[in-house]
Parts: sequence; C-alpha cells; structure tokens
Amino acid sequence: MRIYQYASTLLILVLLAACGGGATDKTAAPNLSTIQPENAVSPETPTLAPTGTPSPVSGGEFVYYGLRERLGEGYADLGVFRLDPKNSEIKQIAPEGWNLQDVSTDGSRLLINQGSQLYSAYLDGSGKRIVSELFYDYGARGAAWNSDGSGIVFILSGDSGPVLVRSNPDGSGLEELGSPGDSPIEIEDIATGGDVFWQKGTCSGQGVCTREGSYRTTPAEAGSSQPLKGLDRLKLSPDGSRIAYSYENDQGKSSLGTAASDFSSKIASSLPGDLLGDFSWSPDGNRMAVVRLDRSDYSGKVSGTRNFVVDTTNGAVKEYAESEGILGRVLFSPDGNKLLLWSTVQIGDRYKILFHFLDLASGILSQLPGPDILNSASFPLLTNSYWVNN
Amino acid sequence: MKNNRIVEIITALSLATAFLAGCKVVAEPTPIPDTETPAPTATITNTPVPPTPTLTPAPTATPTPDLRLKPEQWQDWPIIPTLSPRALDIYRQGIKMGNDPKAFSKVGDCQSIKEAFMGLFDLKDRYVLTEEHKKFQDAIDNFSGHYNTDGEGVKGGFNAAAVLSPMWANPDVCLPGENPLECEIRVTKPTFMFIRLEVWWDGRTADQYEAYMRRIIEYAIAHGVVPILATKADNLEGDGSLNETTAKLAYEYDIPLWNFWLAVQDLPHHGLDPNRPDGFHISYDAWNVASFGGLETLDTLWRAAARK
Repeated sequence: MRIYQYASTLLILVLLAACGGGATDKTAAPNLSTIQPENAVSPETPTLAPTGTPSPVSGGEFVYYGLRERLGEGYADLGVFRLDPKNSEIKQIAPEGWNLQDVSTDGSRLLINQGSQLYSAYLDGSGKRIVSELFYDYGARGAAWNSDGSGIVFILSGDSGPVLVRSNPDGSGLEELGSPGDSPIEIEDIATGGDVFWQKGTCSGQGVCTREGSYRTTPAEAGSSQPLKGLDRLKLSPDGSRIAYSYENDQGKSSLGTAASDFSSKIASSLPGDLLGDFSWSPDGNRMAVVRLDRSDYSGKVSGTRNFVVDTTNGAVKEYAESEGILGRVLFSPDGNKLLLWSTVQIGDRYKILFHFLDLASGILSQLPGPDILNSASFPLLTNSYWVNN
Repeated sequence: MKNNRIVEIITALSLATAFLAGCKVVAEPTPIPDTETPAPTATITNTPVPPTPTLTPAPTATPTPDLRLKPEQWQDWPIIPTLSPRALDIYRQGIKMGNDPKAFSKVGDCQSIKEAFMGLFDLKDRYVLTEEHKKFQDAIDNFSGHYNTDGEGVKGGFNAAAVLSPMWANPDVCLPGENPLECEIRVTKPTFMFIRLEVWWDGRTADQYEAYMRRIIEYAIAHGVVPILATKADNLEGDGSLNETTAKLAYEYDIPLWNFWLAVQDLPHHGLDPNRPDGFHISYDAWNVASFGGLETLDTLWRAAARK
C-alpha cells in the first residue's frame, strides 16, 4: 500500500513535469572564475522514458565529483564537475544547485539530483531522465546504481520518514526495502547479491545529519535490516569479497578495519596518524589507499594528511608524501597506478580545495596545475566522487 | 574592595589521575604531560551579594537607571553572577529552539579541560558536598554527563580565533567546514556555555580578543545559549586589558560574568602556580576554586532560569 502511494505520487509528479511543471535548471554559472562554465545541462523537460535511443556520450577517463560549500549552518550545492586527469581541465556538467550521487559501474550514466529531484543522465549531464521527485537529499549519498546497472537504490522521503527503495533506472517498479522505522540517511554500498549497506540517522538539513551507525538490508530475506555494531562508512572491494570500514578504536578515534564480506576475519589496521580521513579500494581489490589525519591532542589542530597504500594480501604498508589541508580524501585511478588526493586548505580568511596526483611507482606527489580549483570565503568540499574509464 | 567570605571547606577526594594542564602561550601544539597529581583540598569561596541594588518601581514610566558596575570596575564585580533579564530571555529562546535544559558546554583552553575544570562532578567518589552545599547536588544531577567531558569546545591550545576556525575542529564529530564552536553547540545543544579563552600571547591585543569574542558571544546568543564569561587569574598583558574587555562584553551584552580573578585573590600567589613561573598557569588550589566556582555559577544561573 505504501509503495503504491509513492508510485502514485511519482506518477502524478512526472505527469506534472511533462506539462512544464518539472525541474528548471539554474543556468547561472557559479561565481568561480577559474572554472570553465560548460553549462552543458540544458533546461530540458525531464521525461519518464527517453524518446528514441540517444547515443551514449563517449566517456574516456574522467573524475566526476559534486562540489558543495558551507553556507551559514547548512550547505549549498555548486554543481557537478568533470576533471580530465590527462590535462587537468575541469568542466562543469551540471550547474549550481545540482549534486552528484553516483556513476554506474559501466561508467555510462550518472545519477544526479537537484534537491528532491533525482535523475539519471549521460556523462556530460545531457539526456536527463527523472527517477524520483521525492528523493531524500540530506545525507552524503542517497542514491546508487546496483552493481550491474540494472536498477537504482535510493532513499525516498516517505510519509513517515526516509525509506530505502529500489527501482528500475527510469523510476518504475518502485519497491520498498528494509524494515519500518529504519530511518536511512545515506547509502554506503551495494553488494553484488543485492544487500544494501546504509547509514541510520536523522538530518535537520542538507548535510546536517546525526549518524547512528551502519546497517545491512538483505532484500532476499524479506528486507530485514541488521545493525552492524561499531562499524561505519562501509566500502566493498570491487569483487565484493572484502569489506572495509571505519570503527572507533580504544582511544575513541576513528580507525580502519577490513573483513570478509560476511564480517568474519576482521583485521584492524594500525596505521600511524590520529584519525581516519578516507579510504579507497584499488580496482583489483588487492590494495587500499588510506588517508590518515594528524590532529594534535593538545591543540586540536589538524596538522597533516598522511597518505598510505596497504597491500591487503600481505598487510604491507607504504607511506607516501604527506599532503596539506584537512578533510583529505582519496580515489584510485582505474588502472591502479595513481591516486587522486584532495583536501581543503585555509589561506588567510579564504579556503581552497587542492588536488594532487600521487604516482604510486615514483611516489611523486604533484599538485594539479593551473588556476585555483576553488578559492572562496566559504568552506568548499567535494561530495561524491568517482574516477571512471569507459 | 572585595568582600569575600570563606564559608566552607569542601574536601575533594583524591583524583586517581589528574593532569598537569599546560597551556602554551603560542599557537603551536604541545602535548600535555601525563603527570599524576593528587587532587588538593578544595576551598570554595562564596560570593558577596551582588552590588546591584533592588529597585523600587517608579510611579511613572521612566527609564530604569543602569546601576551596574562599569566594566572598568571589573575587579569589584561579584564572583558569582546573577541571571539578568536579558540572559533569561536567551535561555527561554534556547529552550524554544530545542536546546537541552540538562546540558551545558565549556569552550576554552587548558584551564578548562575536564581534569582541571568541573570534571570531578561526574565522578561521584571524587567530591563531597557539605550540608550547606548539598543544594549543588541538584545542579550536578541536572547537568550530569556534561562535567567530565571536553566536548568539542575545549582543547589545550584553543583560543578565541581557533574555536572559530574549521581547521581546528574534530573531523570525527564535526561536519565539514564546521568550527569547534558551531560543532559543540550543534552536538550538545546546551543552555549555558562557559567561555574561557583569555590566554594572552605577545602581539595579541585586547581589540583582537574583543573582535573574536563578539563573534563567539553573538553566535551563542543566536542559538539560545547563555554565554558565561570569566575573568582570568593572570595579568600577562600587564594592564589588565583582557579582563576589562571581558567585563565590557559582559556589560554590553548583559550576560553573566564569573569573576574568577576575584575568587583567587585570597589564594597564595593570587592563584598562580609558583612552580611554573610563567605568570599564566594557575595552581591546584585555583583549579578547585575554578571547579567549585563554576558549579556555583551554573547552579545560580540554572536555578534562577528554572524558577522563572
């Protein structure tokens, strides 16, 4: 009955959208003088299904990311961007007000949203197709493609709170997952077999959430949801055999652990550094890039971002050059030979995002050449990011 | 000038582990030495009656004369503040905004870490209240769980600028771009907040301190949190200008000022640590005066707010 209501609402909204009441793109370019405003997203009317068969936009190797800035006590989406690692060129593929949720496993389509409107789109932002008008746009990532790209799992704003749902890529076939009262706020990962790992919590605004821990929902078991006590920020290895997670260590600080996908054989990492910044599986699943943050117990200042690669087959650890800034994040390149690192630095009373490439063979850390990516009085951050090659 | 009276001696049971808190008067971080130190006997200094007289309502509508002591007379301000109508308004607004009437916060440097400031009140075997001060148990119970924590607003190296910078926030708890002050208020939703960020270093001016403090105070007030300012024991700047600035802000915003400076004047070396002749660190006796003075301040303001 509940799903029926959602589906009905969705249908009505889609019909309204088709009558001209749908999403209107904000075409004004953000005030970022150093970014080439491609404004590729035209104010097209979203439709439930594409007309004809549009040709997929050719990909290549790109990094896709959403950009956001802190505004007052909330956040404002600054758009979706595409970084070409070959020449460091950055293009904006969705304008201000839009955010990136996910890239399909085959690297052919994006999931992007403008507030509560969730769309799939081609890699340049064109060919948008509405998925939902009731998307729950509060946590870090509320929508993800399933592993074979045949469907989408997302969080829908239900009558009595957020609900985990699954649908076809066009938004049809909506099916509720999980249990009543689950209160999901973020999707962490989706296993090949369909299990969904998600974060429970509450949000008072976009990005302003209280996290309560990771859960697993198994659709095959009547959607039962199980808490994964003490585990957080789960990421499955590419083949799904291992899972990495954050946990609170004896000192009350975040640390990295890995386990088999059934959570047996847990291994706690003992990398130097105070806090866990981020971690990313290599494409072959045999290594993990890990960013640790040094934060002084005395002063509280985050003084460094330390970069490691851990060989998960034998536990060997290699530390690379340190990068500056806070909120360090990392992505593996599709060929497994490079890392993309980024962090936010403060220069005077302004903030800037720095991108670095780290060549794993030479160990050379090189800052992205060219003009500032973002230099703002407001605190900028990347939301969801993916390095894909199709 | 001051009118203190020693009314009670409260014996604190020994702290199994107390940290020798060390604030460094520069921005660079320095580890806190893990020195085990027994807790001293605590002496509580009670407050003189606030000098503000009771006013008789005027028969006609005339402006109420402001009889508060001026900021430049800060040394004569009472140790324990009263709740002004303005502070009561802030408290009530905070309750409407969803603040927790059972929560208070601390924003400060090493003088405010839980080992040195009020942490013992969450440890039932670490303090004893005598009959006269049993009433404080109500405040201890009401704010239980918020004494023996630093929250996100206290770190040894914090100063008024640091708590306004996201670069000093705890990434495990705080949102991206959130500074320690915003983070602490969001997470704790306190009704009262001690603000003790008065450390001075060479080159720091009272004007700079005032500018940062204004931002902190205004942010707290906007979120319905009653700021409790405090004077400091030292006069490293030489002219008492930081304490006078603190009093000026308390006067202007009509918010509570806990006159810690006055509370330690009767202690040896005026509460400063003779073993650390940097003119800044306070003695163990002063720690206890701070803890019990903080409790009495909290109790006084909370009772006044709850009663009204």
